[in-house]
Order: sequence, then C-alpha cells, then structure tokens
Amino acid sequence: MRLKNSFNIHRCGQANLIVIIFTIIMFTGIILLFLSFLQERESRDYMNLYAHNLLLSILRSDTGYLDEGCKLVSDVIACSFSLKPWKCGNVIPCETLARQKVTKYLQEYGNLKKNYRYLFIVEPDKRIISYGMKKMTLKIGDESLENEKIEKIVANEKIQKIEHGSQKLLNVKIILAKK
Amino acid sequence: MVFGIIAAAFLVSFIVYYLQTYTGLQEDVQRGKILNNFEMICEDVYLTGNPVDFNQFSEIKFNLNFDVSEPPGIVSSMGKTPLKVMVLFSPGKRVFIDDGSLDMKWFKFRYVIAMPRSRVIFVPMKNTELVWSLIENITEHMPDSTGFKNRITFGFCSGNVLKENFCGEDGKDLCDKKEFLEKIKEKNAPGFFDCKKTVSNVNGEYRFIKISTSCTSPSRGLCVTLPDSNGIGRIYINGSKNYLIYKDALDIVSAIVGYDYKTIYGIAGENLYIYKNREFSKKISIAAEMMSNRAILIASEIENALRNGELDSDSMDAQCLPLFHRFAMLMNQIKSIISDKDYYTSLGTTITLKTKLDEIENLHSKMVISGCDYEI
Amino acid sequence: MKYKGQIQLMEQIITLFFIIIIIVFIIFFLTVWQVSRANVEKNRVEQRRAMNILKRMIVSEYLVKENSMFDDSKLTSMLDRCEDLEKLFGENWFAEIKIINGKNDIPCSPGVYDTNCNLWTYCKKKGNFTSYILPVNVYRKVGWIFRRGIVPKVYPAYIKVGVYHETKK
Repeated sequence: MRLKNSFNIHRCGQANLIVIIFTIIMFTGIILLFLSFLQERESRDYMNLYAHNLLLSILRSDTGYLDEGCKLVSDVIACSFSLKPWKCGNVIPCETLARQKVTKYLQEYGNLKKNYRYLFIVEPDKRIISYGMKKMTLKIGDESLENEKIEKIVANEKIQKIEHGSQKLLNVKIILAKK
Repeated sequence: MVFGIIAAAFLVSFIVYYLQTYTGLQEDVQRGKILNNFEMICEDVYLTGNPVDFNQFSEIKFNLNFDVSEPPGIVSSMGKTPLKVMVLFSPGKRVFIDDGSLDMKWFKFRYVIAMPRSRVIFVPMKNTELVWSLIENITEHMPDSTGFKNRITFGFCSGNVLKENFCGEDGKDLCDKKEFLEKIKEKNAPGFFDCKKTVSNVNGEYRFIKISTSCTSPSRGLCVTLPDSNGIGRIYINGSKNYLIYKDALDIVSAIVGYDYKTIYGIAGENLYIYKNREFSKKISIAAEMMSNRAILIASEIENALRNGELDSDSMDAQCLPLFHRFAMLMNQIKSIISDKDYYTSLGTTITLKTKLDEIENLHSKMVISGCDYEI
Repeated sequence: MKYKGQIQLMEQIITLFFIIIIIVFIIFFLTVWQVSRANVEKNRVEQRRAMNILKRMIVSEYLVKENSMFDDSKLTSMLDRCEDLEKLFGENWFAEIKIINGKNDIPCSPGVYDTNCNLWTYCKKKGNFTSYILPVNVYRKVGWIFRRGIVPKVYPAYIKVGVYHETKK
C-alpha cells in the first residue's frame, strides 16, 4: 500500500511536470503564431493602385514615332488589331513596335519591384462587333501567369478608337504575381 | 469570513470606480476614432470625388464647433482635429460629404462640403437674368446628394408660399441639386416677394437665402445682393453687424453652409467665409507663383529655340511667347494682391483681385484655343 | 521510502520553478507584445501617411497635367519650394519623380527648363523613412522641336513618396 502510494505520488509529480512542459511548448507556439502576423505585407490596396497605374503609364507613354496611329503605346496596340495594320515611320509594323515598347516598359518598371512577374494581355471586347478588327489576343510577358492558380493582382483598362466610322474597343489587362 | 467580506467590498468598489473612469475614457476614445474617421473620409472624398453619407456622429454625444484660427479644424472635447484638406463643415448627427471645385481655368480650387440634411430655400426678390444666373451659380457649387439619404435639397419661397416638392418622377419630391439645376431653367418661382412663411426649424434644416438688389441684416438666414459690373456683391447674415464681400460663388456657399448659427467662435457662416478666403489666399499664392515660374520657363525655352534657329518665328509656338509673358506678369500681380492677410475685407482690393482673376481666366482660355497650353 | 519526503519536496520545488518560469515568460511575452504592437501601430500610421501624401500628389493641381501625369514645367517650378509644399502636404516627407529612360539620375535644377534632366526631388533630408513607389507619367511640354512647332512628349516615370520616422530629440 505504501509502495503503491509512493508510486502514485511519483506519477502525480511526473504528470505535473509533463503538463508544465506542454504549457511552455504551447505558449511558444502561440507566440510564434502571433509574431508571424506581425510581418508586414504590401497592402492589397497599394498593389491594386500600383497595378492600375502601371497599366495606365504604359498605355499613355509615347513610342517615339509621330505619325498618326503610332504616337502612344495605346495607339500602336490598337493599330496591331487592325485588319490593315500599317508601319510606323514606314519602317516598323505596329504589332512589332507594340511588343517592343510594352516589353521594354515592363522590364524597366519590373526593376522597381523585382519580386513580381508580369503579364500584359490585350483582346477585342466581345460585346462590340467591330468590323475591320483582327480576332486575336496579344500577350506580352510571363504567359504562364494566366492559368496559374496563385494570388494575382489584376488591373483593367480599355482602348477605344474610331477608325473609318467604326468603333474599336479593346480590353487591356495587366496581371502581377509574386515570384 | 470578515476578511473575505472586506476584501470583496474593496474589490467591488475598485471595479466600479475603474469602470466609471474607463467608460468616460472609452467615450473619449470613441469620439477620437470617429473624428479621425471623419477626417480620413473627407480626404477620401477630396481624392476620389465620390460623395458619402457619414452617420457616425450620431453614435455618441458630440459637441462640435469649427475654429478658423491656425490650424483650422473641428473642435470637440478631444481638442482640435486639424483638417488636411479644405472642408466647409456644418455639424450634425448625420452629414453628407461631397467635393466641389472653383474652376478658374488655369487652376481648380478644390474643396469638400460636409453638412447635415438641409433645405436650401431661395427667395428671389426680382425676376431677372442676373438673379437666375446667381441662383444657378450658387447651386452649382453646392453638394449633390442625388441618391443619398442625407439630402441637400433646394426650393423657393415667396410670401407664404414655400415651393419645395416639384421634382422627381411624379413632380412631388424634394429637389436635389441635379434636378433643381434643370428646374431653374424654367424660371418658375412662386413669386418675387419676401418670404413670410414660418417653418418649424427645430432641426435647423431650413436655410433661407434672399437674393435682392439691396440688403440689410435679414431677420433669418442670409441676404445676398446681386453682383455689380465687377462681379462683386455683398452677403448679409442674420445676427451679424458686418456684411461680407463676395467675388465668387464659393464665398456665398461658405456662408450658406455655416448659416446664421451662433457658436462660441462667432457666427458660423462668417467663420466659414473667413476660412475659405484664408485657404484661398494660401493656395492661390502658391499656385500663382508656380504658374508664373512655369510660364517663364516655357517662354525661355521657346526663346532659346528661336535663337538657335530650331523654331520658325512665325510658328504657332513663337506666337505664344507674348501670351506667356503676360500670363507670368498677371500671376505675380495676383500673388502680390493676395499676400494681404485681410484682402477679402476691402472692397477696393477685392475689385482689383477679381479684375485680375477675370483677365487671367480670359488669357488662359485664349492660350488654350491657340494651342499654347492645355485645358486644365 | 526513506526518500519519499525528499522526492515529494523535489517535485514540488521543480514544479514551482517551472510555474515561475511560465509566469516570467507571460510577463515578458505581454511586454514584448505591447511594445511590438505600439511599433506596428506607429509603422501603420507612417505607412498610411505616406500613402495619403502619394495619393494627393498624383492628383495635385500644383504638379500634374492630369491624374498620375506630372507636368515637367510644374515640377521644375516647384523645385526648391519645400516650404510651400509643406503647407500643402504637411511636414517630414520627401518625394522623388524620375523618368524611366535607362539613364542615370540627372537631377533637374530650379529655374532651368532642361529637357535632358530626369529627376525631381522635393524635401529630401537624411533619415530613415517608410516609402511607397508608383508608376506615373511625365508630360514634357518641349518633347520635339520642329521648325513649325513644338510637340509635347509623354514619358513613363515613377514617383516615390516617403515619410521620415519621427526621432526623439
């Protein structure tokens, strides 16, 4: 009986010790969990603004060519979708110039946020049947981004042009994702 | 047991005392949060141009005032909450916040108005183009609460007839700004006599604005004289011995938003008018110097191009040179006039300022048409 | 048997020791938690302020031609006018606008219209800061000069706005 009691007392003490150690481990775990929430992440709000401004800045920039339909990046993109596209400065086809400029600007802006991947997509708006427009999708950048199931930041804009009495409406999208 | 009772009594009294203090602290903390939210939302409206209803002032008891002394801000039991953007503020439990701008062609003087549900009643004393033009100009610079709950509506009064409900699909609803501006074109006031209609103004909803060729201190609300040939007139507020000089619609709107309410800082309409003019002086001063420097920079670049033979002397840009020089000179004159702290209190100074501002506006429009500058 | 009491005593002492460790741990954790919360809050306030100044600058009539498109002549006119900018946007911040053209920084000078310069800096001083960067455009009034006229040009650029951390004096 006495032996059993002393054995039980040992067990009781050991059980206490185990509970205490378990509590310490739990607390450490909770602290680490809280600390992980303290890590700063770029806010969603800011990144949405960044993506939208990036898209707008690229579209509004000059290409360096002064002929009509070639002055701005949005102009050469619209020209790329024409059934009869022209050459800017009589030298370079619209689509080539559009790809050149967008790639260059994406690379240059990419240096500001090196830990992101970018994809630039243009396609005709499906709601408007535009005559004289090519049915194609222009994709510039990391094309694998489009179908990846990861957290993305997307910004949208429209390019609207009237050409020979007919309205051209293009949807432009930029997708950003962390590397 | 005795010890236990004593300890319990001590503990209970400590908790009760702490809760009392804490509740008071909690209320102040809540007030502080609401004021910060208000300030953030005003800034948001200023940046985005999207109006909102702000009802958080109804959540807790507030005693709010607007103090125009530097830095201008909203005064409450929490002290003064300064405002980062210009806000014409009239306290109320539920306020409507909208942005607006005074378009000077070369610059947009932007502002935010935050005011509670209001019925702005015009009392035109004459049926002339000038009267209707003034009413339209004032309304253009008021908030547009179409589709929102805290409505700022407009109407007319003449004699004992109060005409407010003549808008909406059935023609029986109150008029928000957009619809009222359409209705003004019909020039359909109930008459052109002083308003004798008594209204229950317990919630301070009604704001009466008499438009007349001459005014004296009105028995209620505001009396606004028609502008003279310089575009300048006077505003008389009930309860104020002085009149205020207006040179643009925003001077009148400031007085309307503040109205004739008596506060510890004086008559609210007068205070907001002073606030508007001080902000105008601060901002236009900086803008005038910037635009003057800008005009000189562009002119010097054109001169260089002419000198180097890169630009023909009969080109359009060469023709812009004298316009840029004149523009820079006028901007410097504006800056000099407005540097006088009390410029808005002197009729002579106001006339000079208005004349110069009109001249610059016309000059800039000419520059835009000529292709010398872009439209702002 | 003989050691039963000593064993019990040891267990109690060890248990007590661990309980004390836990209590000290909790106190330490709460203190660190409060301090880091205060720092996080301070950072958040500075971040919010930087974001607010950024949003106001990209629509400011003193600097832009249209939203997110700065006018180079306005930018140059406002160089060396930090005091005036502080009246508009508050104190303790800086802003940098740079044209992205692959070139090194060529700072613009006040009072000089230079079509080669690509960097405008306002209110910069030494210190740690929290900043945000945003793509924008710069409209250059004198882009191309031809005999028959001047044609403006729009460049891709970025704006960086930072708020200095407040230091105790």
